[in-house]
This record gives sequence, structure tokens and C-alpha cells, in this order.
Amino acid sequence: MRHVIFPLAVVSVLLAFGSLHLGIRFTPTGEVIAALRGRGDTSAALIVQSLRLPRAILAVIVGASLGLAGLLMQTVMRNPIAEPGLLGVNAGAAFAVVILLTLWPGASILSVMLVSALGAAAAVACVLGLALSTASGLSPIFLLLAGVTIAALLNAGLQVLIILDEAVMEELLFWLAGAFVDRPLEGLWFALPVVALAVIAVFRYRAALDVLATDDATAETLGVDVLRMRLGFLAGVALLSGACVALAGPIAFVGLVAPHLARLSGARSMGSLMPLSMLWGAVLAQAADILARFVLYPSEAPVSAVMAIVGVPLLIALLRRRRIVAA
Amino acid sequence: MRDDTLAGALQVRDLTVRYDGTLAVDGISLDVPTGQITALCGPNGCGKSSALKAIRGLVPSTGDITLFGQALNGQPHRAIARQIAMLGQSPDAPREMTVRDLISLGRYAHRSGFGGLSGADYAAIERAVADTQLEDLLDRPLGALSGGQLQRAWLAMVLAQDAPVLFLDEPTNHLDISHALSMLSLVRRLAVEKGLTVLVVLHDLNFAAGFADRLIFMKEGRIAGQGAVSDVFQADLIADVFEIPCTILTRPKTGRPFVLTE
Amino acid sequence: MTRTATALGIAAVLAVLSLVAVALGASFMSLDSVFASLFGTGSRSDQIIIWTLRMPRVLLAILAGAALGIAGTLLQRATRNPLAAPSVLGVVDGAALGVLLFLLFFSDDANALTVSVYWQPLAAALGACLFAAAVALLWWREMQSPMRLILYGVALAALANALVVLLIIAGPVFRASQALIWLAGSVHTAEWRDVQLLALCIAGLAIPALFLIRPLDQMRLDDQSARASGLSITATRIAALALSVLMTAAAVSVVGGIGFVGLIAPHLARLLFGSRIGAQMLGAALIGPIMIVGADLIARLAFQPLEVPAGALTALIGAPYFLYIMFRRGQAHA
Repeated sequence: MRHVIFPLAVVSVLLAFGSLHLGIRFTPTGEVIAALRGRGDTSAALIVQSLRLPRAILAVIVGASLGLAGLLMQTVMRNPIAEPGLLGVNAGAAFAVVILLTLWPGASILSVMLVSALGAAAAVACVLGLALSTASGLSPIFLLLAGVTIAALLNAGLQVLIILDEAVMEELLFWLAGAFVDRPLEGLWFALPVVALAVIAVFRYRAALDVLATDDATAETLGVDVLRMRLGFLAGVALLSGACVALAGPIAFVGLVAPHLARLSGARSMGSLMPLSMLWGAVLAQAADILARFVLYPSEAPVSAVMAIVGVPLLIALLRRRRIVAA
Repeated sequence: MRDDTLAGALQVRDLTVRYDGTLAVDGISLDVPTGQITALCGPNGCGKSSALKAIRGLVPSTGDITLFGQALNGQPHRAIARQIAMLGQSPDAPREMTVRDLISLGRYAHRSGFGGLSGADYAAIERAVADTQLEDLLDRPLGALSGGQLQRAWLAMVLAQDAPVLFLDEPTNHLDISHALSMLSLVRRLAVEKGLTVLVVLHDLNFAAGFADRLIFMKEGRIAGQGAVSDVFQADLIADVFEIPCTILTRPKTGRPFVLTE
Repeated sequence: MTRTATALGIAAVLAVLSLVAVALGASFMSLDSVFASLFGTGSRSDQIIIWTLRMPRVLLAILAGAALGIAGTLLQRATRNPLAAPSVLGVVDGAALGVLLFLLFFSDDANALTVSVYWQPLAAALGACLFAAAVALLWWREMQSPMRLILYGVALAALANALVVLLIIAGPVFRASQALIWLAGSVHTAEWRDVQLLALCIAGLAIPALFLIRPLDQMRLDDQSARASGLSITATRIAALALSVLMTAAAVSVVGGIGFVGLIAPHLARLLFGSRIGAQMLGAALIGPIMIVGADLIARLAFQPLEVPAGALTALIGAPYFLYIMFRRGQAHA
């Protein structure tokens, strides 16, 4: 719905602006602007440029991408509690990072990013490969269960590796917590084109996604190649959430909730659901990223947890407002 | 056009159904006589399916429904199910379930306690199987049946329910013309043999005219006409209900009417 | 016929696995001495090891696995959602929050508990029931939509989980590690008292579950057909959900946050035993225990002298087999 898109976009911009001001120390607007124009050389300007600006950018990109990925996942799987992690993306990335850190302790953060992307891709390839090699025709239930099982298997393997090598633990916990803070922006050079490509492709085929939301037979008769489209959209989910997990580590919750917030805002067709899911995702991630600085002040709180604390009351309030009338 | 004098198995008065505030059925009253086949007809969205579901108590409604002289409102599900069996529009069950299992599910309303199926259950299932000629398919999974066989299996489940009143919601959907005809003539034969009272929603007017004893036409949630086929199957009424010009002709063999559109 | 054979085979696997789990541990015991001790004629030290350490542990794993398997089956049937696991109704995370608050409120500065640790399961059960009640309260007016139930459940579970994470980070390290062990789920502190408690709960809940077999079998039909055949769907659904929640709460309170069993055991049972609810519940009640007993065995043996929480490893037992069956059948649902 158009009347929600504009206010949400405004909120997102305000949050981004606020994100540059707020932190352990408040930075006045004048210094923020000076820093953005590359002038200030005070420590405040340094904080704005090298700490707050990157995390503000990351929050928007990751939140929006995961919101969109969640919408694709829920629609393609026809399950309202499906989320991007169910393809094994996060588990695959985490498993790969543990192996990397076990073999090369102290690997650079960029190599961690690269390896996590590879791990995510490998896990998704396993899930899709398993589904494709059977006659299941990529049925949603097969994919969901294959994904959830492979993710659980990888998580169990992860636990074992962590137990065997406790030294990895410390480095890993930082990464596993998933956050927008202290992540180098260099990864964006690789991740941004991937995300942009996926978003454009998904928007291009949004009509097919509307049709996929119905049952397979209807979709086929309406001229959608169900198998290919499902595969394509799942590849989109993998690219979007794979890029996110590489950039910020595993971020939970936003992919599950942003699409519901979009639906509860009144959007029905993909043409409005997609931008709304992205906006809600971005706003949630931004708000959580700001609050994470204060919840456990002066240390940083894990952003996924903060997101749940912000998002759950919002979701429930919206659900209550749109109560299902007795059918 | 309503004839209140007819002895009815089922009487419905002022039935109203609303979905999210939208009026689907607008205070209709109708009578279904015992031992006859009554067809509910009308264009898509006229409320005929909603009316059927509401009478059976599957969607919330207001109004009075009387079955064999007793109020239906407020009776427990199982008690109603022993009196009215209903086959919905797109019934669904796991593909691996066998025909035998499906049919035995029709006995739910008659069973109590913990044991397996009783002698009466088996007898009813056997009758239903014989009536629908499913003897050879009993151990087939539903996923391995053709469309016509599947519809017969569902009909058998509903027959096993052993209720004196049978509701059918578009039973010929997804069936080709020969399977549709054999489905309807099967229902007709069973109704005559067992004295069943049948209320069936049909959108195909010629099926309805060839198969039912009585017709009820609905339009925009209201009743446009009800009565014996020969009385209400008239060009002006059909033209009004479906908003198409048409001509009524007579079938050479049965003498029943049929409708021809321009 | 073949299903009976499968059931017997799985039961045999569980029996052998349990026996091995009793025989193996920090010290190996021959089968002879295991049997001797079981029948009260073994050496004194063997008797003690078996009767006070290993037997309760194995029995607790069996009971918890059975409870979670049955709970998951009931939940998946009642919600018609294949992703519904006992954790989606907020029960598991609610229990975790209960345990964390317990550790926080009832320990002193020296990290010693000020009350008996025996109260911990009660705190878990309270947390579980409170969150389940909150979910039920939100769902109350919208009961014809199981989808709404799951959404409320998932939302409250996320909230409880977030609070747990923040409490773990904000609290002292010692309590955090205790909480982490609970979260992963483990049977290593098993005592006879736990076994008795859980056995009582399961027995009490199994009786009403028997009454649900026929209505749930009827729910294999779509909602409308099931209601037309005389089933009261809402009543069936509420009863199944309540039983599922109580069973999960009972199991989780004693063994901690083992969630995966409740998701996969029902699916595996359905693939092996078909969609009849009685067979599926029985299957899940056999497969669940295999997963936990097996995971606990690996947890005890593979990482000596470390003790790993069994819950972390349950996927290692069930997941490969489930994937294999799915792959061979080419479908995830029988």
C-alpha cells in the first residue's frame, strides 16, 4: 500500500540519520555533517566515518535483503513460518567458517566473509541438489524438511568442531552473533552487485511469484513453469541471504517477520509486498542496530535479539489489529 | 412460486450468511421434500454453495433449519452427521490412503468407545462399496485413482455415513461428460432405491434439469424461484437468473426440458 | 505386514542401543556383568554404576524422546504444518527463560544456588506453561486459524529467546555456561526422581492421547470433509495442542531444550508407518528415544573426558537416516 511505503521510507532515512549521531557518545549534527563531507579530523568525525556510517549502511542493505528473501521463502514454500535460514544458508556459512578458523586460526575477516559465502552456497546446493535428484519436483514440503535437516546436521557438526577446538570458540562467537558493527565495508564490493542483481531479477518476475503463491496446478495452467520459477526464486533467496551472512554473520528474525509486517500493512500483490518487506526489514534492522548500542550499555547487545524485542510487540499489535473474523 | 404445502424433510427459514461483513446468502427460505432430488442452481457467486454449507452448519449463519421436524441449530456435530452426509467441492485426503480406509472414515459419527469397526460399520461400508462398484479398487491408494474413480470413492465414504439426507456440492466438477452423467445417474438410482433425500448444488442447468425432481434457483444471495422442474425450468426465469437469452426445448426420450443458449 | 516388521526392527534397535548405553561409559562393562547387575547379582561397584548412574540416564533419554516424538506428532497434525515442532509454540524458549531467571534469582555472589537445584525443572515448567498460556490467550478469538496460532507462537518464542540471549550475556559467566548446557539439552544429570516424574507425566498424558486417535485420524481429511463427517475440529485441535504443549513442557523441564527430535521423529515415523495417527505416534515414540539415547551415547564416548550435551548431537543420529529415506522415496511425506 502506497500510504505505508512513504512513511516507512521516511522513518528509514531518519533512523539512518539517527544512527550517525548515537552511540557511546552523542555526536552533534554539525560534526556529523562535517564528517560526512570528509572534513572533520576530530575523533568524533573518525567515529562517524569509520564506525557509524558502515554499520548504518550495512543495516539497511542486510535488513532489506533479508526481508525480501523471507518474503520469497514464505511465498515459494507456502508456509508462513518459513525463513531464509531454512535453506541451510546460515548453518552452511557457520560450518564453513568454523572449519576455516580451525585450519587457519586468525584468518582475516575478509577471508571469513568469502568462506562463509562459499559455505552458504554449498549448503543450499546440497538442499536443492537433493530435491532435484529425486522425483519430488521441488515440492515445498520436501525442500523445507531437507533444508531443516541439513541445517540441523551442519549445526551438530559445528558443535562438535567447537568442542574439539575451544580456541576457535572465541573468534567464532564474535562472528556467530551476527552484527552490523565492526564489519569491514570492503565486502560490499562483492556483495552489493549480487544483492542488486537478485533484487532486480526478483522484481522482474514478481508476477510469477504471485501465481506461485497459489497451488502448483493453477500455476501451471496460468503458464508458469513451476519448477524453473521455484528454483529461480530459491536461488534468489540463496544469493540475498548468502550475501547477508557473509556481510554481517547470521541475522535471525528479520527474514521471518518483515514479510508479515508487510502483509499486515495491507499489501497484497508482490508489486507492493516486495518493496514493503524490504522497507520493514531495513527499518527493523536499523532500529535494532541503534538500540543494540544502549540495551547493554556500554557493551554491544546482539542485534538479532534486540530485533526480536522490538519486532515481536509490533508484530503482535499488528496481528491483533487485523484479527481474522470468523469465516 | 414457493409451495409451502409440500411435506419437507428439510425446512430452512430466513437463512443468512455473511463473510467478513459481505452478505453471501440473504435471508432465504426453502423446502426440500423427502425422498426427492432437489438441485440448487444459479450463477457463480450466487450463494448456492454457501447456503448448502450453512444448512449443514459448516459456516456460521443465522436462521432456522428444521430437519425431520427437529431444529438442527445447536445439535452436536456427530448428531447432525448421522442425519446429513455431505460431499464437498474439493475434498482432500493423503494420497497414500487406501480406498478402504477412506470409506471407513465415513463411519466416524456412528462410532464410539475404543474398539475397531463394529459389525454395523462393516455392513454399511460393504453396502457403500457395492453401490459404487468399488470392490476391485479397495486396496488402491487414492493417489493411483483416476478422477472418476476418486469421485466414486468419496461418494462411497459419504454413503457409508448412512444418513437419510445427502448433500452434494458440485459433484460433477472435474469430471468429463460421461463420468459426470454416470455419477449423477448413480446418485439418482441410490436416491430412488434407498429413499434418500438429496440436495445438490449444480451449475450445469441441463444436468440439473435431466436429473433433479425439483429446482431452486438462486441469484445474488436470494431465491429466484423454486418448485418442480417442469414448473420452474422456464426461459424467462433462467434468462433473468443467468442474464442470458435462452430457449427451452424438450428431450425426445425422457420428456424433460433442456436449455439452449443463443 | 511390512510395517509391523519395521516397527519390530526399530524397537529392536532401541533395545540394543539402550543395552549398549548401559554397558558403555567411562568404564566398559561386559554384557554378562550388565545383566548380572540388572538382576541384582553383579559386583557392588557395577551395581552402583548401573543403577544410580547409567540406568536413570538411559531411561530418561528414552522417556524424553518418546514424549517429544508424540508431542511433535500431535502438533503437526493439529496445525497441519510440517514445520511445526514443539519449539514453535514458545514452550521450549519459555522454559529456557524460566531456567535463566531461576539461575539469576536463586544464586548468590559465589555462584552457588541458594535453593535446591531440584526446583529448576519447576522453573522450566512454569516458564513453558506461562508462554504457552500467553500464546493461547492471543489465539483465543481466532481459533479457526491454526496459522495464527503458529505465528503467535513463533513470535513469543523469538521474544523469549531474545531475553534468554540478553540475560546470558549480561549475567555472570558461570551461570551462562550452566544455562548453555540446559539450552542444548542433556540427560547427564539424570536421577531416578526425574525418571519417575517424567514417567508419571507421560502416563497421565498418554491416556487422553488415546482418546484423540480416532478424531485425529478423521483429520486426515480436509477440514470441511472432516467436519461434514461429524468431527468437531476445533475441539480436537485444542485438545491435541494442549496435550502436545504439556508433553513438551514435561520433557523439556527435565532434559532441557532438545527441539529437533520433536520435528524429525514424527516425519520419519510418517514415512515409515504411514499417515494413521496411532501408527505414527507409536513410531515417533520409538524413533525419538533412539535419537536421544544414541546422541547421549556419542556425547559420552566420543569426546572423553569432555561431556558434551546430548541435545547438540541429536541431529547426527536422526538427520542422515531421514535424508536417506527422503532421498530413496523421493518425497518427504508418505
